[in-house]
Amino acid sequence: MSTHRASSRRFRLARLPNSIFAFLLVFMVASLWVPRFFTPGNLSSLLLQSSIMIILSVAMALVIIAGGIDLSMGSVLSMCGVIMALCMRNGLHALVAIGIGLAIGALFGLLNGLIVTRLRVPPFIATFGSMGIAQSLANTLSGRRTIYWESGSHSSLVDLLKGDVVHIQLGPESSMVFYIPFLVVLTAVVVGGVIFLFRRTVLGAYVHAIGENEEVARLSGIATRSWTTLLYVISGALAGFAGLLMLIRTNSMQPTSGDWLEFVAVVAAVLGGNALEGGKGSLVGAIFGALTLYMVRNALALKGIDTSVTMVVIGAVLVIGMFLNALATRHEKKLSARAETENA
Amino acid sequence: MTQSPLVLKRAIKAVTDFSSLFILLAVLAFFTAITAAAGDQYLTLSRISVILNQACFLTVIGIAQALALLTGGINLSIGSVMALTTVLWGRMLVGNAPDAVHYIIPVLLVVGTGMLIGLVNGLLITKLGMPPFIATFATMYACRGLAWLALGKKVIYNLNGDFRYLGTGVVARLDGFSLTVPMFVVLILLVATSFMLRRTNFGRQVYFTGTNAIAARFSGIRTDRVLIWVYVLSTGLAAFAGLLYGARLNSFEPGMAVMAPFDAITVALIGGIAMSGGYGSIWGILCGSIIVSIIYNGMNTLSIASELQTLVMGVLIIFAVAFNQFLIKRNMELRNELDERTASR
Repeated sequence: MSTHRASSRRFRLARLPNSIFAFLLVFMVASLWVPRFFTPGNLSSLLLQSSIMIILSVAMALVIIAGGIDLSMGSVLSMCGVIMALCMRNGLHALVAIGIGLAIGALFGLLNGLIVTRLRVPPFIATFGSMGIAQSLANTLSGRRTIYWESGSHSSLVDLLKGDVVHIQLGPESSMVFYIPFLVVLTAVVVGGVIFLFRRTVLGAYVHAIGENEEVARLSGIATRSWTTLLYVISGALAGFAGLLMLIRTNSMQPTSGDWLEFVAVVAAVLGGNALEGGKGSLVGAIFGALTLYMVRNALALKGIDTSVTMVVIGAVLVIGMFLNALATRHEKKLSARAETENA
Repeated sequence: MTQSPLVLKRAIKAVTDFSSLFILLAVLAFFTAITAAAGDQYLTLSRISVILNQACFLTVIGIAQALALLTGGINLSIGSVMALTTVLWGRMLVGNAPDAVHYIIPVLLVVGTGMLIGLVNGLLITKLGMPPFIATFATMYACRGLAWLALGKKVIYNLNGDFRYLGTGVVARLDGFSLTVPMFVVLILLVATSFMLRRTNFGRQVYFTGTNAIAARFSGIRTDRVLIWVYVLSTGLAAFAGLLYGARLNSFEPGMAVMAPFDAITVALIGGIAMSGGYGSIWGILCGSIIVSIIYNGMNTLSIASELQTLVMGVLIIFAVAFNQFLIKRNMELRNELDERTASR
């Protein structure tokens, strides 16, 4: 196996993140079929639209690789966003508000982690239960209303983050404006940070080990409970961060804005080759998974197609994407079997 | 070894089999105490009948979900299938037009369409190797979209009276307690499912596949076929639940029962079905649905805001499952011990 790995430095189809096939397929179809899809302006807004889901699906992939799942993410997003918005409405400085929101997200993650590791409740159920708790808190705190705040010196940070880093006018129409919003940069930095942690520290190896076989990981000296708890803390904090993005993008906060997002995140992560039984997966794959889903939505919306058709198409894309993943895996298996017989 | 501890152990094991019954009693005691403090009687006959009537629908979707959970899977398409199937054939159930076909035909069409979608679910899971979560998520999305496409923003209402009898009919009234048609329907369903799971080969294969699919395959069970049938039955039941739901509300609409798959999971989990598959009893579902029904009913009478009700349900799910986990472990230990003893004798 090791010789096989060393010899496979060259380009290999199956080593690409799984969802990239679905991504490329949708990208090509959309570019050819939807007139205003492949324009600088639309690609920029596609990035902006999918940034929240990218954060969530990377966090989800992290938990899924470790054999867990975090269904509370969407509700934690809403809850943290509502808390940050309330803080700012009451005149707190944006930095303090953001700090409080992220801390509460992390705390909620800690709660999830403790329920999973100490009470031994399966992750699906633990986070399904805490989904209800977070949702309820978001609705109760906000009184089920959208929260706005008065713009002022204390919220100048949020106003700044709403802007663009790069803004190039390539033509007179709005579709010819290429822009990179601060939000996308923030997303890239955070996702880059998580991927760095995952690849360059013990985190990645431990997460894989725990997902592969928790008992074996524990026996080989990994403090599995603490690491698992840490993962839920990270995913809670990232959900809080996604709440911040949502709050900046809409310049207000709806208590229901995170509903269903956790399921889309699971789908994006699985489309990205993260197996729900754990031990296998890729964070980059999850990013492409999220991009694929939002690209479908974006392209069909540009084409002026009804959202009900979009739902059907997304269902179909999911099936096709999973089918392509299966083909790639089969191809890879065939290749490695051939390599082994050649070695022998 | 003396006889008495064995009997005692058997008794404990029997008790751990009915974990959801404890939760039921605890919840009942809680609401009785609160209403008693306010100087009221909680368990009146009319309230019991309301609670049981509400529990009927929950039981049907609970059974549908439990079938999938028992194999270690999940069925997220329940709510969307309810919407799509009833929206597709619902027009045939409208009004009392003299030339209308007998209502049994659309009912069969609805359940048949549901089973067909279930077949799609099963094929995606077994032949394409998709995880049940993703496969049924895909059909959930697709069916909801198709339901909106089929009917748009309209609602099918004013349903056939004979058909509505299925969801609202009252067989007998005994001083406030109404014995309704859905209660009988659900009872028949429970007995039939329980018989299927406990007494038939297929039922045992469902449990075996859920406990260890690989071992099941190696011992000659065609697990793919078992899984496909489970999803056909589960999704067909969901379509039937859609009929019950519509009959009660007197309308079908594409946006109905969005939360149904999750309510079904709640009912099944509180009813003691293990998410990992292969463990749990169908009668637990009845307990689970009555518990959920009591809690919603109880909180409504205490006029607790609906957003706080989700919090209570969330906490309850976590603790109920933690409690069940503990009991399941104890139950397994006792079962092993009892088996050893009977074998050594």
